[in-house]
Amino acid sequence: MKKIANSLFFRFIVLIVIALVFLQTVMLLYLFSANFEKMKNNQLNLTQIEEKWTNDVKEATPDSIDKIVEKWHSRFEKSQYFYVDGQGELQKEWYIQIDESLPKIWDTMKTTRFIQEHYDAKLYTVIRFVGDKEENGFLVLQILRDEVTPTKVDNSFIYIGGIFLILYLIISFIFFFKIIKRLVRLEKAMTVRENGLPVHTKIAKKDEIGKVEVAFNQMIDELEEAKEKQEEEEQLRKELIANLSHDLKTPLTKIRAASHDIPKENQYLIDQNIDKMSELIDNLMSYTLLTADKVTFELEEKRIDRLVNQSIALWYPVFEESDFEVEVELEQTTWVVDDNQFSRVLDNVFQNVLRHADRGKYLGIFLKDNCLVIQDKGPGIEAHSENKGAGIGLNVIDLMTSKMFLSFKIESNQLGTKIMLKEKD
Amino acid sequence: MKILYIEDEKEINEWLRAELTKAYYEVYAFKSYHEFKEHHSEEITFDLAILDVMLPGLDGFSIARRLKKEQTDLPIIMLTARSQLEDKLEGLSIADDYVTKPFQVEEILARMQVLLRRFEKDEEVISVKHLEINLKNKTIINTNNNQEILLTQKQYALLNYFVVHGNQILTKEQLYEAVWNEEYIDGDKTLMVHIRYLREKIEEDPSHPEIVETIRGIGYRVRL
Repeated sequence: MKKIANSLFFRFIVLIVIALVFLQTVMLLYLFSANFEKMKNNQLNLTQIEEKWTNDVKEATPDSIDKIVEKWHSRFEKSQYFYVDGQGELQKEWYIQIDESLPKIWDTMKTTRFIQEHYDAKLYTVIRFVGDKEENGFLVLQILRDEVTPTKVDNSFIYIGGIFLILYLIISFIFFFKIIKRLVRLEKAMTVRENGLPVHTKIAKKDEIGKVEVAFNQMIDELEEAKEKQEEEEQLRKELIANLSHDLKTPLTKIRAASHDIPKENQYLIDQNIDKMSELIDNLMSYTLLTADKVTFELEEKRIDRLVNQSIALWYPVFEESDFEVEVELEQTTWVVDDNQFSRVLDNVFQNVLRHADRGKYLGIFLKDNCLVIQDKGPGIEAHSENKGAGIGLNVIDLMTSKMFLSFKIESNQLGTKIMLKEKD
Repeated sequence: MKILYIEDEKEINEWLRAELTKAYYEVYAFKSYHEFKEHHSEEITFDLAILDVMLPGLDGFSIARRLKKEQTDLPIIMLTARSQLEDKLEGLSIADDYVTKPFQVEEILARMQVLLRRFEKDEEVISVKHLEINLKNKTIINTNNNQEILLTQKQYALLNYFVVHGNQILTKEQLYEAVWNEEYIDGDKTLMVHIRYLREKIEEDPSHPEIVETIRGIGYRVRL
């Protein structure tokens, strides 16, 4: 039973039933109130009033007029009276509420005009001879039609009906508004993202929507669990790669440690190859992490000229040692990059120049017109016969720059290599 | 100069210890934090620590954190095989410098010298060409005539920064921000003017400076 009471269907039916009951009630009320109004007006309609008045005046004498007027006025508050005697002179007026400036002398013409003017007018007027004799004069009754006609009944009916209608509309509105509000809330929970997932929604009621909400929350729980698991696996993978790099580099360090007392010439060769190997491991690691989207880029507006300046300041001594001519011209430039990753791109580029362009003994770095050009006079990329590993280094640069929305272009021939970095339009 | 060195790989440990000893450092080498705590007497205070990151038991970062807590002015160099940036950044927030494996001994020695100077644990007097700079007393002697060279506060701060970061190329921003403690504004001539005055006081021939070198388009350097 409680289950049924909780359902939206049930509540909708209740609403319909309320509507039907309301209709019935209004109809009943109409009948009832019409009767009630009648009772309140002493069950008299205009015809009855006329009949009674005729009777009362027919039996009266000029002396008893006052008594009749008092009696009627006590019944009809909004009534007024006047008396004209047998000679046609206006003798007396009672309870005049609507002053019509009655004529003092009543001849046939004036009487006829008066009757004509009051036919069907606001004041319901009945003229009767006192004691049914012309020499006694006539007594006139005037009642405001409003008091006797049942217009009041109609008014109250519309009034009460209106209240009921508004009440019904309010109840319906609340009913549907609540449903809509919950649906909107559910929709919001579905579209809002917290850590890349929709958020839990509040379960307000145990009806049909409530069931959807419960199912929705369950789904999110499952999603969260799945995401957590995925993140754990990712972390493990990251660790694995990092540890792998450690495991590969430790023996390299040991080789270096062991080579310290062998002839200088051989030692140089070993050292060089250890460095090359280490660089390959780094690039492989970066490549793996980048392609798996495991590197976070925090993009911010940065001064590229300063970043390049800092980077070349660190690299300069190495180039100096190899007798490179280094030419630097940096224009003030701001790009949106991750400064750490951008520095790594530069490291990779400089490493490549150092390794492959030794013959040209030249490094040119120019930052002009929103374009960074790094130039060497080496034998060109095609000529990197003994250094096949350059490919992965360039791939890493390509991946990193594209994640920072930079375009990366290489122009290379036997006279040298030109690397160009630009902000993508 | 007492150096604490923790590294679990036997071959590397022995090699670096030998190389550092050759460079006249007094090396206390251990294989783990546990071993260090067991064998180390509390009386010895170190001048510098070299820590491997990947260690059995407590890792290098945690050790660095503990050492810094006990002795805030202990310079620490981390040895890491992981060249991943996160590692470097984490390392740098605790340690003062890091060297990636497979490192060369020269690289470690150079970084050690920089740190020892920065933490004022180095020999008190440093010679640069014809100058003898006493970092403790903040005095500069011209050995050509044995006269003291008097510098303004800013000029000395500049020279001191150059010497502490000897052999490194320093960019204009780096120098300005270190000495003036303000953000460098492009085109500001203050630094250039100060370097010119500094050269006039310390160089034998200020128009051909030999101490404060200009690296065109990049910055300045003082070679030690």
